[in-house]
Amino acid sequence: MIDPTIAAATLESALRNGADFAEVFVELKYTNEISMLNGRIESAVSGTIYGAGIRVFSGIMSAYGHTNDLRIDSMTELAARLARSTGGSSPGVSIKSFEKPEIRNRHMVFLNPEEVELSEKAEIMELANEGANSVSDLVVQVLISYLDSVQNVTIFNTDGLEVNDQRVRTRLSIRSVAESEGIKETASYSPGSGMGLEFYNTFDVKEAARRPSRMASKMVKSRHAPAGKMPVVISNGFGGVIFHEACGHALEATSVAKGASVFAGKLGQRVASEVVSAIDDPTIPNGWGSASIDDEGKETKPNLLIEKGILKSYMVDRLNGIKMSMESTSSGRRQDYTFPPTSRMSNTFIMAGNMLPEEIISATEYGLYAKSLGGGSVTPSTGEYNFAVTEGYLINKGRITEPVRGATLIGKGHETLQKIDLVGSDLAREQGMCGSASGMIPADVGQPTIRVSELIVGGRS
Amino acid sequence: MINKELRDKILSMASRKGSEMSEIFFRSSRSFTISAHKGKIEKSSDSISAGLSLKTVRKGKAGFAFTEIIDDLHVEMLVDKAISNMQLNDSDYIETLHSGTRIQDDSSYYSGRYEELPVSWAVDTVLEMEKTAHEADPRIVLVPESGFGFFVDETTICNSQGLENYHRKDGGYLVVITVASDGKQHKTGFAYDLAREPDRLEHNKTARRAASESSQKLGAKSVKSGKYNIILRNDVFGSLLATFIPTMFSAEMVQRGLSPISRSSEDRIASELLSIYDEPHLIESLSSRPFDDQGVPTKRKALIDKGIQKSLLYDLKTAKKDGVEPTGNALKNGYKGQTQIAPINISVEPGEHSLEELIERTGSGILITSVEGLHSGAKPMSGEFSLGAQGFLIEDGKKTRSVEQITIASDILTIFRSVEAVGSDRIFSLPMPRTTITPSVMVSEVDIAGSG
Repeated sequence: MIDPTIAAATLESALRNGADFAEVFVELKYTNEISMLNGRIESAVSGTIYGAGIRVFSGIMSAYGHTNDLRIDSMTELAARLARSTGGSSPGVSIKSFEKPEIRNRHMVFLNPEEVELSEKAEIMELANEGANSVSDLVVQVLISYLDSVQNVTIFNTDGLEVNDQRVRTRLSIRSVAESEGIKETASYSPGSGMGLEFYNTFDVKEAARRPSRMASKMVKSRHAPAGKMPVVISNGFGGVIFHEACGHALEATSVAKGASVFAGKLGQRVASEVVSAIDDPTIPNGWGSASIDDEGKETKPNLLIEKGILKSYMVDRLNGIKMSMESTSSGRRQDYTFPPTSRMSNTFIMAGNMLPEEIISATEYGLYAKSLGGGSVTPSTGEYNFAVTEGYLINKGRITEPVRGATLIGKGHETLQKIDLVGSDLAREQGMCGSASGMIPADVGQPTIRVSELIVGGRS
Repeated sequence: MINKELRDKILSMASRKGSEMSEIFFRSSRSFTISAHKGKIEKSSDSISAGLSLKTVRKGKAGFAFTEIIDDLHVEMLVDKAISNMQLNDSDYIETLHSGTRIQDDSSYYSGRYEELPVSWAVDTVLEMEKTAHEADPRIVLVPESGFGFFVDETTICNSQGLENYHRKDGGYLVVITVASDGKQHKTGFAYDLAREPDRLEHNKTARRAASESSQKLGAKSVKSGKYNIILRNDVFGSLLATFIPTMFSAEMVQRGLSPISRSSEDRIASELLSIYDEPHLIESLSSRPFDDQGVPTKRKALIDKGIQKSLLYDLKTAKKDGVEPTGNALKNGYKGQTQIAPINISVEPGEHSLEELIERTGSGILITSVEGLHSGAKPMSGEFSLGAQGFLIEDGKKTRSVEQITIASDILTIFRSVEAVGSDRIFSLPMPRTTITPSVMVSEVDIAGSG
């Protein structure tokens, strides 16, 4: 992708002009995106993404630039300009020769998407379309989106690191729209993985596609959720978005290093009730948020964040690690070469407890059962978060009763973590796209069924 | 700009490989950002990116591909992939390309002033802005962001039908985030400024606005759940419109039955106090542009006029289907992907009342100053939403204590119909990527959930 002598010249140019550390991130990525509406292919777009991001440090000051022009003059000039802008005055030590560390690839791919015919991808979409259309007459539209990407990265830095990685990802998104008496309700399900096309042999595509149609046709017939504070039981899988928003973002060094997180300075302290343990694990084989190395070239490893309610670790990248005097936890991630990396989540989830989900429901006198959740957001400095319930039911006297729609749940993360009082044994993960300082990245959320003793449910009175 | 040789090579290769009509979209951008933290420059970025996309059309079906590498191998790959994608397409829309008016505009939305600025100007600005924010109020404990940025974009669209359009634009902005604390509670404030020319950016004012926003929020509590009369502050009304208007007025969503409104215009869908336009040529907006991403000239149009539904937003294929002219509303995100229908500048006609007057008229209720979770808690197809919110209680016609941990739930058409007064306090939003120009509005009887 790039001649190492160009990378070396770029890094040296940065050092000569005042930087004390520099990094070159080169990316070549192929993408395909196909969308099908009601059984017809509406569009297909293929892309080639290619460029380099150069990052320089002088102490804790950093500068970043990217370019599509990877010729030596353009690269060394950009590096020099960035280094000068930090105002640093490093002695200009030259870099050692590049060494390639041995990195174990846990993410084997068998059917590379670039080598599979478009028609085979379309067949998978047709299966999904059939499944989604076989549920209810209330389903009036089915949109299937198929995505794949093959991202090749090479990272060089002034420590003498040279490392390559290939990340293959594929995802199928099924969105169903149901309509009844003038009301439209949409629901979606988007399984994805760090595999090639073999991913679609690991589950029943047709059956998976029935799920959003079932949800939409149930929700379109439901009344609005009630408004107010109540106990909420949150189902496994995508329910884990509550941890992602309520806690995950505020454990990223990006906020912690500035003191702009409600969890800053709380290592070793109790931050959650003792039934809660949580982990960020980028090493899960072929996981949606997995990779062999992070986007700073560090080999990934699991990171236990909370153990029985005690805060054990943050998610730390190199630059914030310098600011916090901590080691990187291999959490430096970025959307692509146009963003500098920063600390981000990978596959982040609450670990399994020992109650059966039915036991959690039957232990709840009254409340909301959030069976399926949409996305959310958070302000890390205040902990205020929100996320949307896409499939909800009322719980009455320990039983799930009528479906309700349209509720957003809100709370403050550090308060909510203390209010998780029951944790189930049915851990599951689901796939999401997470947006933050370094762009949109694939990330798994997950949890077993949990109960929060009280949350504000944003329904209607 | 793209050179003629490359353009001709791609267009003729596409035609040789089976495309009847082909179009090249080329975009190059420069972006610069810089931020201060704790009295020092914390980070900066300076980047140039460029890429091109190709659209091929045969028998009314289109295929797309884009690339950031422009060498022989990847140019051929670009053409091959666009053609394969075109062959896979079986949409019931008839795709076409725009021919006609040649637009070469490098001055309407471009001053060139930002590129001439010395870096020291940017450094001084963000450092002073951080300092001003800290000094504005003793309760400010942190300024996580004090930043300046500018961009320059150049777009070329040319096609086999003779179209050859070019425009260049630039703009700059300031962003400040503050955190205030009273020892019990932390509250954030956010403020920005934007301008076509750097000397119109007001960094000290922006810093003080963010500081006052966060300090005023302190002492916040939730409220009892119930129905309240509310004011959606100018920026909040802008965020709601940016979320709902694109889907609602997209001719494609309307034609597919996925919009909360139908094709028939002249229906009353809002209070007669409400008029909403798409105004693509406002100089102050950083989203303004002379033509859309299919090369069609942009123009002003009413979406809602005194409560009555007017024009929809059209691209080429949806206009063909409805037998009307395209409205210049096909937009895409850089050179990647394909165009989507969207407004350029969503502009709401201002009313006569200041925000203070609206508060007085409301008597008792809630002034909503921020909403969160628009990407998940709002459903553009049905118009329904349930969102986290913050604001201030209004009692006896006055803004009193700060309000947090509430949600606001309704649907956009009910909001439109329940507008009881429109403010005179219009504000331009940052381009995200659309710009909204909106006043505050007073709305009756909205569901609020809180802890009581």
